[in-house]
Amino acid sequence: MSEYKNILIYSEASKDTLSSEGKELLGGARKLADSIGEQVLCLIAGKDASSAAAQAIAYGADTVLCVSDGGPDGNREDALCQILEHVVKTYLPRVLLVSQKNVDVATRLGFKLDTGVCTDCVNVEMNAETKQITQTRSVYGGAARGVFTTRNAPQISCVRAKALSPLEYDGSRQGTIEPVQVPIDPGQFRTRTVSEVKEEGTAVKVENASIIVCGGRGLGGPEPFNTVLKNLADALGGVVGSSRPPADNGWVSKALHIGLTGKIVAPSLYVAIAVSGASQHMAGCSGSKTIVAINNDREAAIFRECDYGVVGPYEEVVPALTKKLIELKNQKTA
Amino acid sequence: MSRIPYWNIDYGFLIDLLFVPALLVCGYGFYRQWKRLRLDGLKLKDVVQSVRSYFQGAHLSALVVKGVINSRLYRKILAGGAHAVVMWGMAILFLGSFLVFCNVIFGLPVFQGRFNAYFMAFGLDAAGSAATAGLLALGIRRLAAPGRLREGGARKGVTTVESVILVILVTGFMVEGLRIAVNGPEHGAFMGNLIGGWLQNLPGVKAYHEYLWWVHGILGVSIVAYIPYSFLQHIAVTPLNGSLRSGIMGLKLRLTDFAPDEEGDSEPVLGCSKVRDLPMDNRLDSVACTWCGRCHEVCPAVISQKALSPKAVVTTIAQYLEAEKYDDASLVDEVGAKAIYSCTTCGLCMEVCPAYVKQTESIIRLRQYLCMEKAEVPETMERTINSLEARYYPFFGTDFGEGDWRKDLEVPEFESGETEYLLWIGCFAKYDERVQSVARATVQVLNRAGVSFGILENGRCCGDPGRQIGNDFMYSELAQQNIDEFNEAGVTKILTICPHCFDSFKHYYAQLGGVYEVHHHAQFINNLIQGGKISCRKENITATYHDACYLARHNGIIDEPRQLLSSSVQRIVAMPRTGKESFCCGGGGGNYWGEEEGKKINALRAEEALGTGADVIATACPYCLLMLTDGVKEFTGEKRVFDIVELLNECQPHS
Amino acid sequence: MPKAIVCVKQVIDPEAPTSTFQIDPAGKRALAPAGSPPVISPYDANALEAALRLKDEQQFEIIVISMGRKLSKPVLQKALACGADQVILLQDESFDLFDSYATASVLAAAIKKIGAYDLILCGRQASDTNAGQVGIGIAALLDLPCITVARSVAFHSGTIQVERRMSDGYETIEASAPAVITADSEIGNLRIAPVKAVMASRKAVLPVWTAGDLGISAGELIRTEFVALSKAESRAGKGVMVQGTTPAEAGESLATVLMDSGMI
Repeated sequence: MSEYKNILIYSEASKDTLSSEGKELLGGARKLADSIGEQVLCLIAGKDASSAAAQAIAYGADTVLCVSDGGPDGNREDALCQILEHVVKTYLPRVLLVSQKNVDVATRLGFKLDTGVCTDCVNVEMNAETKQITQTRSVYGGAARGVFTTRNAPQISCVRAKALSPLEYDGSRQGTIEPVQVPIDPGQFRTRTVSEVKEEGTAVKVENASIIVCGGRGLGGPEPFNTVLKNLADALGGVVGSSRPPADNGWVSKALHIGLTGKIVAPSLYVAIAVSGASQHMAGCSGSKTIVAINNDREAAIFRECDYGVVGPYEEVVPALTKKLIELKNQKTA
Repeated sequence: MSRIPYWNIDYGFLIDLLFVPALLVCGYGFYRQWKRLRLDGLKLKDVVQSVRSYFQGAHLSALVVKGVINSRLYRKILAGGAHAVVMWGMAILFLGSFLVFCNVIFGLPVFQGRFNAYFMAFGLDAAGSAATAGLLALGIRRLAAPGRLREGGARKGVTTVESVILVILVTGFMVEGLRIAVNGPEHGAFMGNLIGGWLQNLPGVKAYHEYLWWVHGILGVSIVAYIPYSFLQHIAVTPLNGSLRSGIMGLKLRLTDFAPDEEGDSEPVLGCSKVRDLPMDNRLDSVACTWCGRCHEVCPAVISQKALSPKAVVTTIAQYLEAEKYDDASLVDEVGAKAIYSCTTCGLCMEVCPAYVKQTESIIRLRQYLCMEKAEVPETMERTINSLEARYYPFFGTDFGEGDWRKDLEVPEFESGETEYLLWIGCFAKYDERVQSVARATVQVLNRAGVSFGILENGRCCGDPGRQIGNDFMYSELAQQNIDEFNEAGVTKILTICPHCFDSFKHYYAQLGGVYEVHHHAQFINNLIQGGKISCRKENITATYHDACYLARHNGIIDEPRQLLSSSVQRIVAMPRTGKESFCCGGGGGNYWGEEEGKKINALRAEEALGTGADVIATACPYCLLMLTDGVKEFTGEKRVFDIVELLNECQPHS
Repeated sequence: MPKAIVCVKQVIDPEAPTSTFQIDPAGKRALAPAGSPPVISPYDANALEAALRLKDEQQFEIIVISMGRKLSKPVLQKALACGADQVILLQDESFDLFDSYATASVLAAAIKKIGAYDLILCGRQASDTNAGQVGIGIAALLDLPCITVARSVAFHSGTIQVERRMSDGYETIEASAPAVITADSEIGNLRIAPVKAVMASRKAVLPVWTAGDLGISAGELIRTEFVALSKAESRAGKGVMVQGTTPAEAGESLATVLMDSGMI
């Protein structure tokens, strides 16, 4: 283990921008590396690797490893696994951080390298003495928090979106950019992607929206999502999301499902309508700055976690809320 | 002045001879019907055996009271009245015809003196007039028939047969009138005299008389022959059904027996998918059914526009039986799973049925087949079954543990040999937050009254939801666990707060070997009040009481909860449809967990309750409490529904 | 006849009332609530349903395996009642349920012992660990393709076709058998078993394989360890309830509150 050094993170990139998860990972990796005086390596793979490399340095990377060939479309994950394996074996980082989005690849890698993997981590901390990280993740469906260590190197951690914070962009930071060639062997690909279907969502994805109006099982069907909730979302300038039951029942697209096995969101305003507030759902939205709950059941769990709450039938509360908001907004602009 | 029978009729006695084949044809028709009911196995010894056991079973008084006098018919006073008039009118006319026969064959002197005047003349004229008027009224109504006659199956051949009978009646009067026109007025024959007066000067009177006499006679004889081949069979079958089934209150089924039969080679039949699976009781029901649709009219599922019609279920079975499709399992498909699961088992259909048909029994038997044999259950009820199997209670995703309901409350535990009553808390009170306060109130009231009671520490349900959804197997297993625990703890007396638990313990646990003295809190606590063990003041509010189906209709507990209620509120106003005719809250038959489409039953009932203007809606059942609370939400955000014991507890001085 | 092996995990009932959730500080595990029996982890139940749906369409042999320290037979007999052909218990004191690497290794060893197979199905994650590693791990250890988060599975003469749930839609992926598939809830809920099947399953005797039978020393396969386990805290919201004489009025007051707070 003693030859393993530095923190490696993997980020996706689009044009010259890192993904938001990548920025968060860099922020977290920076803290880990600084506490033990080591470096942060950032791996980017794909045709946008080199154009995003500068940004990676500005967000905290010491060295950016650019792999220009990210593998064929339809076998991205297989290729990424090979790339990561090559890079890890070459650079021997003591810690590898990836976004929870890449959990499958990271897990596969972990098993290949016979090293421990922790998934969906909400926190990663470095023990300066042992130079080992401990990883915090939610277990038992969100009812409990567990702190774990892993054996063998590298220690691999898949981090939940919005769990770590990115650093401030610092254009003056210095770092090196290294192109890396990784031979990708298509003979090792075991699956082929035949087709892709994009489902209707909104122009703004729920995980990126700053205002979300979320509907729950109590709405009873798809219609209220398209009428009452949409009207409120429009008035607020936000998007519509849902808890798991409406997505499971097919009332809304699965892309709108917010929760432990759905999207993790942290908007500035989250309005939960007819949502009970079970822990699996709260795991998805507890990062919100402000939570407003509207529910007909005064005993609903969500009222224990919200900032503002109204007890009443949504059919009466929400249209009145929407109407008044529009009125107040017009007054403001007038 | 005496009348001469068969006056002007040559070979009049032929009509009496024709009666013989007519009776044979009629007899054959009933034999065939009976054979069908027995699924084609009817031998002479079966007939003898059945007749013997009927008389041994002492059904005769029920036959008269429920079958013939049948007060249920008159719940619809106009239709019932018209039917009575037709029925009794025809009965008297038949008696009259029989007496003519006796006179002709045996020389019985019926045509003389006062008997002739009062009965044979006046009596029969009156009966005939009434029957004609009644038939006309019913016939005219059928032109603009109420929905219940058309929906769920419109019976064929009714208008034809009624028309024939009308023709028989009219020709009878015409014959009488024609006779009197020639022979002069008869003492007492007011109709005949009247008609005779009109026809006095008709040419060819005697010819018309003879002609119409034969028409009347042959039609009359034919109708008698035709009875079992038409809806007229109800004359015999329907009172028979009433006499056999009237003693049962509400829905009382026998649990499915899961033991393989003695030879061990045939497996038990679970539920019913075809006519052959249905027990004789329900087959007879389908034949006794007169397609009147009164069940259809009052059914909460029909009223809230669900797929179910109890009438359609019974008439479908009748049609399969008539077509002799005993083994055709498309019966259950034709009735349909949606319809079958819409039933809340409220039993109002059985309560209003003048033919004493047990519609709910047939529906539940079909449901048991779908649930236990095909494992076909509506999705939300599937979760209930899964919960019951995994957790022994029917809820999922609850916030409360089984001890939460009694936080900060002193609740005695049941001690073997020392405690008198087991207070069965039940799953609703443990896992549903709203119902917890009902359990707490009950404990507090019982404590104050000094009753020796205790609870058993377990989270189990009595199992009833499983049975309601159709799974007797799951029910039996869960019940057996409870019975084992009760017996080990030495429980002999049980108090319940839920009528479903009450019904379960009282009528179904006994079938599994668990026999206990069971009380519902409404009765028990009311007795305490009447016995002076409980004091309370009256709150100055008005309450209206909703009868739970499983208390009022299936177990006859109607007055005690009201008495209890009246000791804690100033006034009680009645909502529409109470007591035995109470309108269901919609929660029974597993439908508390069902996804309701369309109009909601509980909203309908809540509207009725709120319409009384009462401050408070009182119930004695947790299902009703929750369903009505939910229903009330459509109209107001206030908390208006309470259990009677909650109200009582509020009014007691707290120690 | 094609064969599917379904891995199911027995867990503490995730639907048990939240107030009964207690942690055993010494064992660093949640305590099984009294009177609350274990259940099949929900996504594993979906995996079993996926296998059963394949069996509805074509001949398929379904073998269910489950690993643990002390397994409850009734819970696993349910798999038989629903239509599985065989259930094998992998039971040993050393079988820790929280380490994904060890779990995947034990399951892989059992799968090897079973021999030939076309499909391996698991749930996408267990309801207690929420880790989501075991399916992928089994595939890695047995050198098989792995397709995760499946919303439907089809099998035709050696080719497996899976619709895989993505964040904004789904993709269709093909692989040649044998392969590992992890199931999402979209595949469908585990069916209810007919009563006669339940009765028959009660009489079944389930074979038990220990660590010795599998030739495995589970202790050496641990790769993660608990440092600490604690109950999750509720988000500390302000909890301001906005009232009104009518629901509509409350809605209007809420609008004012939100505008005033500058959130919009």
